[in-house]
Amino acid sequence: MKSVIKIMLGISAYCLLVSFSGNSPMREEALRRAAIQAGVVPLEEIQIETDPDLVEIGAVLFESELLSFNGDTSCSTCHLDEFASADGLPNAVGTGGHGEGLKRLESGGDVVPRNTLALWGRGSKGFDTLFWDGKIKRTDNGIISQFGSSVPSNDDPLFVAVHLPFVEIREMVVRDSGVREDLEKEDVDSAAEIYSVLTQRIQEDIELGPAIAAANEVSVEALEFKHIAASVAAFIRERFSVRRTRFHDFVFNGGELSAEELEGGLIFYGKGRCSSCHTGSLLSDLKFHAMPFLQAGFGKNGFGVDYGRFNVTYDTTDLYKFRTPPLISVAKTGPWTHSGSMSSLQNVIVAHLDPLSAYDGSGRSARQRREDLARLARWIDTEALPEPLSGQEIESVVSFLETLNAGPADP
Amino acid sequence: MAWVSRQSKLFLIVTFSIGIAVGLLAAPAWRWSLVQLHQAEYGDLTFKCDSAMRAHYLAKSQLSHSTTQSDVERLRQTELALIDCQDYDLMQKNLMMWGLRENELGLMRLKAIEADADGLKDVVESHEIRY
Repeated sequence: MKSVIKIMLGISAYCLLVSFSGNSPMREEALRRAAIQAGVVPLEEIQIETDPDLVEIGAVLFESELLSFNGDTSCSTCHLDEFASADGLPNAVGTGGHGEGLKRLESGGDVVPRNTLALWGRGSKGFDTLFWDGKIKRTDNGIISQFGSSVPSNDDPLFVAVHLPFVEIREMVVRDSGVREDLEKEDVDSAAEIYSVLTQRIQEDIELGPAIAAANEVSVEALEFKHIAASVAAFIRERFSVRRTRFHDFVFNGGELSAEELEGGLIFYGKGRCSSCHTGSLLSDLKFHAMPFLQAGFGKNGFGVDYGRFNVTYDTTDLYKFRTPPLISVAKTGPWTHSGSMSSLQNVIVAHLDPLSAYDGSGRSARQRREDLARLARWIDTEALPEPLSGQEIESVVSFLETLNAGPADP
Repeated sequence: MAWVSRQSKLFLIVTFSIGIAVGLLAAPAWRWSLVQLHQAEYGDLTFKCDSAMRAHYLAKSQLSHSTTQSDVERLRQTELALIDCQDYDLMQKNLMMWGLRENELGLMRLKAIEADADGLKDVVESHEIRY
């Protein structure tokens, strides 16, 4: 008798589980509609054509340490395939570092106090705001950047952005006794001087000089740094273009999602309110938001402080705000946040919803707690609070995020 | 022979009594077992549906005062979140199909409220008459 009851209870539990789990046409259609309403478009609509010759030589320049003023770094030092074009570190390690990943962190190189951003989709249509603090931003009046009126282009933000790492102390310029004090200013004149040195170096290279000149249809003598930048930009635009993801396949091409991925997507566009900021085909509104993430490392402003967008605008309403990161291949580009302070996607999601749940101020200094409180206050003051999610729901969202991994155009 | 007849009668009476008892108790025992097995999940869906309905109500109220893009987006998100109530309804219907009645479902809902309540205050708020 007891075994009969147990069997019947087991059957009822199974039937109840099966009857309302899994996908249904209504839920799939609801997710597709929500994604389209949140600005997701077919990926072919955001591509920009590139010149294959520039892409080819740009690939070589991307790997070349010749473009490091007095160091031994290249673009690929911090943008590695192994880490989906990031570097797997909380804060980047630039000049003076050796190796990749943890080895690089332990090698004692110069720390760049922000998390390395991945490059996916950076050259796409509409990608108008670059870097964590939006220091390159296209507006209706042209591109706003550190170059001011000397901006290399008023049309192509990626082209302008590519100019910056080559002149940044700790990224590709070593601050040592050989670097004159005026070059440390990182202003337009010092940048021009560095560009001149790098261009001459390329002109004197018997392979690179003629190759870059040919790709840009100029003579070696007429080469300028803009030709080098254009080649690198073309490579980044092509190599890291987002041509396919499982989620875009689901929305536009009849692709399939698992039950967990579907549930995660419905939460992402529904009660999780992730789509308030993570909109569009690359899942970023490219706007600035304050989030209550802990600061890891020294911080852009020193002593564990990073004022984010304020460093660009000097507007106090921009304190602690950072540009929404796109979520393409996000599952592969940890650690996360502007300072890489989160080591799991689950923790990142919890920090969006319930930042106090894991907070322990007892091990932090008074100054650190003050900064933590300031970020929290800014978040509460400026953002709508999302609904709480269970552990299982958070795992569903993580499963959904894994459908955003960039894949080859042809599966 | 009379002794055999008494034994048979006793056996019949006992068997009949057991049958009556099982018949009277089996159904409640079955329902009780279903409640125990599914309380946690039903309670969780009760809470989720309640949260979804509240959020949707607030979003609709907000939109009646302000129609920014953010307000419109928030209403869309809370509408999508009402799928939690669909899951709640589906489970409820399935439980009824397996034999639970409104009484048992009500019991499960009350237990869910009690589990989530911080104290008597929350229980009172669930039951007090409001004007």
